[in-house]
Amino acid sequence: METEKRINWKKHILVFFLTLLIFSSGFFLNNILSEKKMTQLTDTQRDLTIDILSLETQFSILNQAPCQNLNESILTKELYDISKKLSLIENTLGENNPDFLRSKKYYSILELKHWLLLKRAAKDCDFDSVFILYFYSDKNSYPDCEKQGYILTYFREKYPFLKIYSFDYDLDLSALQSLKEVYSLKKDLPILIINDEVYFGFKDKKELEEILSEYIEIKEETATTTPLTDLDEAETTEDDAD
Amino acid sequence: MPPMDFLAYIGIFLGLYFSIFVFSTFFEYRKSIYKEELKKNFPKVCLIVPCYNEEKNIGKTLDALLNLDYPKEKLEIIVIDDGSTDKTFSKAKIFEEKDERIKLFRKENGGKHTALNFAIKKTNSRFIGSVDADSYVKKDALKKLMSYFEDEKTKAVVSTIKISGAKNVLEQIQYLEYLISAFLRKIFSLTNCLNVVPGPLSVIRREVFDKIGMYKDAHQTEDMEMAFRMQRANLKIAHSIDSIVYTNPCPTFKSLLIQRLRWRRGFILNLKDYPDLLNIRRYGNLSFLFYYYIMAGSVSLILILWGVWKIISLILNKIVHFSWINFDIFPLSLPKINLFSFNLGPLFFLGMVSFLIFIFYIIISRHLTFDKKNLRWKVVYYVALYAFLNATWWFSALFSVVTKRKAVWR
Repeated sequence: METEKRINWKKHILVFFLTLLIFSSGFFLNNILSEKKMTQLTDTQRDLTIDILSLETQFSILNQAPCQNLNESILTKELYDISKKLSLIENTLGENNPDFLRSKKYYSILELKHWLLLKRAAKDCDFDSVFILYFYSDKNSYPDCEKQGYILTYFREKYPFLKIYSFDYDLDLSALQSLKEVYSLKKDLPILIINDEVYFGFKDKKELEEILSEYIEIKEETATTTPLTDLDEAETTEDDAD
Repeated sequence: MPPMDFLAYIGIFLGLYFSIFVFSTFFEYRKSIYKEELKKNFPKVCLIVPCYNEEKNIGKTLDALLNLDYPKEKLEIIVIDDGSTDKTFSKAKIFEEKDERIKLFRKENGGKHTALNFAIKKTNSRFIGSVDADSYVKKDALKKLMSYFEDEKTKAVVSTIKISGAKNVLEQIQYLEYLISAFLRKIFSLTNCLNVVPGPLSVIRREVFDKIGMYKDAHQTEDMEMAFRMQRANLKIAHSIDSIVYTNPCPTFKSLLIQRLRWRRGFILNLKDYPDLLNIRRYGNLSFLFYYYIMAGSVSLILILWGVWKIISLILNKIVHFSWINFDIFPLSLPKINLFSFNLGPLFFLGMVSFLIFIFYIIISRHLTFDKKNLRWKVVYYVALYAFLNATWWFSALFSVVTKRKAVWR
């Protein structure tokens, strides 16, 4: 009548080791992918160097005759591609990684070059454009920067003609230092420089709309009358402004 | 390592261990999964149908029983109306008048266990089965099931329960759940750790009642308690995987919650009533299974609660973000997802392995129960919702036990 209920320990030991084997294979597969990821990352960093050089050359060429040859959308798109690659590197290596910080500095210089070129083109070639320079720092010490970044992303999506350039205030870069001196910036973050006018502290959606109202109206009027270049289709420079 | 990641690794390890144990047992016993159906020497069987307010289902249930491929003179069907307030009795009466195999009794409402005990006293059959009044037994089920009693050591045989007519999302989830349960039940029977003799169709030798007593209320899970007592008395319970009985699914979240709350509450309280079943030296695989349930259940409950909290905080975070732009969300484009930018880690791979194992469970369960239904959407719904539903049921059951609330049937 009675049935066998005893545990087959041999079987359990076998099952345990088999489980351990499959469990370790998860870590093994992860290592393989991490190695692959690192290889791709090295390639991405190499691409980034080439892209940066190429973009620098474009800036030099265009500087000679900006009005005739300016295809701003391609320039902006390339800058945008670089920002995407940069965020990929940041996600993988972390924000304090020396390689990432070096690339971030390159990128900031490119943003500045892009800004200077378009600013000159806007003046020489007589087209309306709105440039916003945005200074931020880490969101734990400056929680308003997260908000400001999100609101700027929203504005960039809503008004694609806005050229928004974001800079890490604490980035150790002499070009940025000069910019801070020119505009007499102090660390009252977030900081917005909208067409050369400096605004310290957080600006909510309504405040920003008021500041930008003049430009938005001008742009909308222009858009209804003159189908200019493909400026409006261009992506802006930062994937995520914060 | 964050504590929740650590807990997730433990959860996956436990799940893997259990699955490998299940599959190794399956391959070990793959030649004895089925048993040839009975062809002669059919023993007399009494099937008891306890019912309470089942006017909608009783006709279909009795039709299926009368249609069973089993010698007429060897089959007795006792219908017990447990004080129904609807037309259950009159509907069953029509069947009693039509077929002499059916005997109908009516008693005051006292609960399912009282109805079963009432009927056991009315029969002298050596084999006594129970059939829920909302379950429809397949024609060849009894013949196949009774063949297991050729082994004198087998004291009870349970069937495979399938869901009848799964339509909405919850019903389709239950369909897949029952399908996988059929496979697991077979594995548990092969390792002698079946812990329920379910109501839709189970047959028990009369001597079992003589030896360990009749059905008890047992926190409204009399079928589980009976199995616990049988296991304590070392009485073998087998599973006939190809004896199919169809049952109605719970169509709504509320009805499903009530049912699962009753089952889980019953499990906790019955285990509390028979704590000696946790003695691994004495009850071996059954105790092992109970320890596994407790460990894996606790880990998954914490993980699911944490997951729900993460989802809620993500939504709240999004709402806060939207409030910064006065909820003018239309200009925003959808976030660009780049898989490569996620830091997946070993948990991702182990999760994929777990998913593959889950698919393997489905394939084997389908194969063993000859299931032909298209399961694509059932799998999607199951993967998306089952863990959350299960956590809700366990959480409700624990709450009900702690607050000493009484379970209800429906």
